[in-house]
Amino acid sequence: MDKSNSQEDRYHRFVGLLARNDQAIRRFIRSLLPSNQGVDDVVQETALECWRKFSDFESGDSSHPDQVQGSDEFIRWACVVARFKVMSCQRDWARDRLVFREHILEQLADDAFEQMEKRDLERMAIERCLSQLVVESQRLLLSVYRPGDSVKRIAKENGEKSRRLYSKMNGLRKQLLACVERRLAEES
Amino acid sequence: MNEEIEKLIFRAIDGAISQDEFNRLQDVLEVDEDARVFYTKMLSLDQSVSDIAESARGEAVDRPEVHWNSLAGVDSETDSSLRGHLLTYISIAASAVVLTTLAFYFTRPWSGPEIVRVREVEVAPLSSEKNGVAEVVQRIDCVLENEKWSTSSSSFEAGQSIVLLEGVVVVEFRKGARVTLEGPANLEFLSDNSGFLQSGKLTAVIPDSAIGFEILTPSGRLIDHGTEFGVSVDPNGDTETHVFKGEVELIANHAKTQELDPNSGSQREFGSQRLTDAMGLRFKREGNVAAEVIEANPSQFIRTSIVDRQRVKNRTEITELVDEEHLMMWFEAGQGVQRDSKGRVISWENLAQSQADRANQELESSAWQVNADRRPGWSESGLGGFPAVRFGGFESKEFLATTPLRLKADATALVVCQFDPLEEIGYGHLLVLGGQTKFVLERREKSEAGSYTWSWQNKNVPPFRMEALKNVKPTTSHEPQICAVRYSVEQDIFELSVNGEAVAEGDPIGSLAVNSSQVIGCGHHRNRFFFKGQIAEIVIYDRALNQEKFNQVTESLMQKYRIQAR
Repeated sequence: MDKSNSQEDRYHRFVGLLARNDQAIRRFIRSLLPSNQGVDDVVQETALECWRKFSDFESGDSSHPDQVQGSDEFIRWACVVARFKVMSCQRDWARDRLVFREHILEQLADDAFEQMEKRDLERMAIERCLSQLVVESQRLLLSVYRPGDSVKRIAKENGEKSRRLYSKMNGLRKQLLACVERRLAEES
Repeated sequence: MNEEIEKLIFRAIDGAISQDEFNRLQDVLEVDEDARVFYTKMLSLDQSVSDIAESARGEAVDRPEVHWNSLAGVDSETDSSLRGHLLTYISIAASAVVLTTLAFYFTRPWSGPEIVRVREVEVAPLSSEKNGVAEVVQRIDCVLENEKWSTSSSSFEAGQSIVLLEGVVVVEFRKGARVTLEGPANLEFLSDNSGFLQSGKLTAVIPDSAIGFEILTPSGRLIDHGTEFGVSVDPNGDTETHVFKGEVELIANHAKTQELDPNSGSQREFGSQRLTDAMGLRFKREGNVAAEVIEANPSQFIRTSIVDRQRVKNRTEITELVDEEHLMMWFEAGQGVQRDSKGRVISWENLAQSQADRANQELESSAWQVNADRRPGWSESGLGGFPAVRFGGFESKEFLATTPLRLKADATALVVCQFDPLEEIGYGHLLVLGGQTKFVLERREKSEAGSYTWSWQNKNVPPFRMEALKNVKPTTSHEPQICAVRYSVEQDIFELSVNGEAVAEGDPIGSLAVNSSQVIGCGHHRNRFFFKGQIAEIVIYDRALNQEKFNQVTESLMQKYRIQAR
């Protein structure tokens, strides 16, 4: 294989790994930031840094051609890169935005790594638990994620106070979490 | 885990948390593992539910628009090569998913205005959950002792103290008394309408709801009868009270405290005394030393209330400006300047808020210097016969920092200034705007051959990028001049003007949008690039004014400061 082909193969591998694991890396980064603000910047910087260091990753991983295992290792490696990127960005943002104190950030990163392991199972459990809720509760719970819908709007439609509905929504979130944890415990 | 913590976590997840609430949340996350685990799980759940909601819509993930032409951010050979190859790859990639992903990662505008989705949830503070007898409502460049050890809360219970190491903090008691505490100071909260000032200085503004507000000191007790007053307690516990407006009653702790009778000059026993407008009293903690009636001196105190600050009522008398609704910052040295007893500038009011906004503001927007050693001077006829704020350069390290301001992506800025001669070549920053993307007006070199530069910097892009516009024409050091810039990424405007004449133009690249404190008189790290000279007026709009309006404002300033076109 000549050099250009080999280089193109590297791109293919990198792009494939990045595309497959984009969501997981993004979620990890979001879990280390106080809000969505800055997530895109860190994702972007992480992706570039990962590409710059991709040969390091490959040299430590050349004996594992298996894609699934490579994918998991890529996520872990990319998340380590992301963790440093978040710390570096937070130092720059400290004057302008909410930022986590460094040691809290480290604890959150550890927790997020742990949480990452069960993300697929969690997603399935959430879908099942969501489907068990009555339609009104589902709508309320999802209203904050849907453009055009909101707690305020539902409150207006039903003549209720939005503060009350907001409390109700948080109650539903806790209920959903309890349901998910119960299912995960059952499945393990 | 209690309900308050749960609510803080939900507010954080929904992006509706305030700075104070966030500090409180961090204190909890630091020590309470259950809370941290709950936060992590709830955030993970939130992200999953968000993904499910988005999948259900059948729409693409909400991400910034792809800009294929905005690859200027990284210009090292490696990165250019990377982009070239990746774009080549993209063009041949079979998978649309891969294409979308890469287009996002590598071609997203570098540090362009970030679109952060704000959820429509309760964004009002948790007002109904207020507890404690008082809470911090404003911090101005301050350091609180309890925050150094991460046990801070913005509200205080009776018996708790606030230990302010430096800076200024504004505390509101539950009954409405608003106290501005100047560090170093130690104030204990006794009830919802009283406190004990162990040391330091405070001023208090008392609304009708809080009449009877009390401040105890080691020397005595002050009972307010609807007013504004200042109190200082020195390290010996001796107290000075200055009444700015209204009436205060003073009761000495020490039964034998004497007071000097201002009529007869003899001493008499001091039990209690009422002080009214402009009166003050100095009294000792111990001993038979006379309490001394003095003239109230507001300049000894930092005040955050704007009740009696001198200001021209008719704003057109200040400067005739266009498009006032788009003014973001407007500092005029003849207006709203609070000075200390040495005549140095404590605060400089931002006149840009509309009157309507002002009524709704709990505290004004201003530029501040809480450290007495770093305060710039003030001259009544500094520039063209008008007042100006005078900065002393590196030797005195003076500067001002604004209360947080929300900047938009574009701006027009005009600064009426004058440079002092410099003995050596140096840089002085007159003004620094922006967040990730910095926008700097700097004076370079010796002012005899003076030049100044507006530069756009983006420290978030590796390698560091800077686009500088230089005024290459000599400027006279002692005369006032107006340097101005129009900046818009969208309209592709980056133009430097001096006294109305365009002298340089360049390429705008990044957005200035940010919500943060801005700096006047030095670099944004506040430890170098100190400006030496005077600034009489700063006018900043949240957009690039069109040429006609820009000329109008420039002309208005030139007439006012008697500046001739070059």
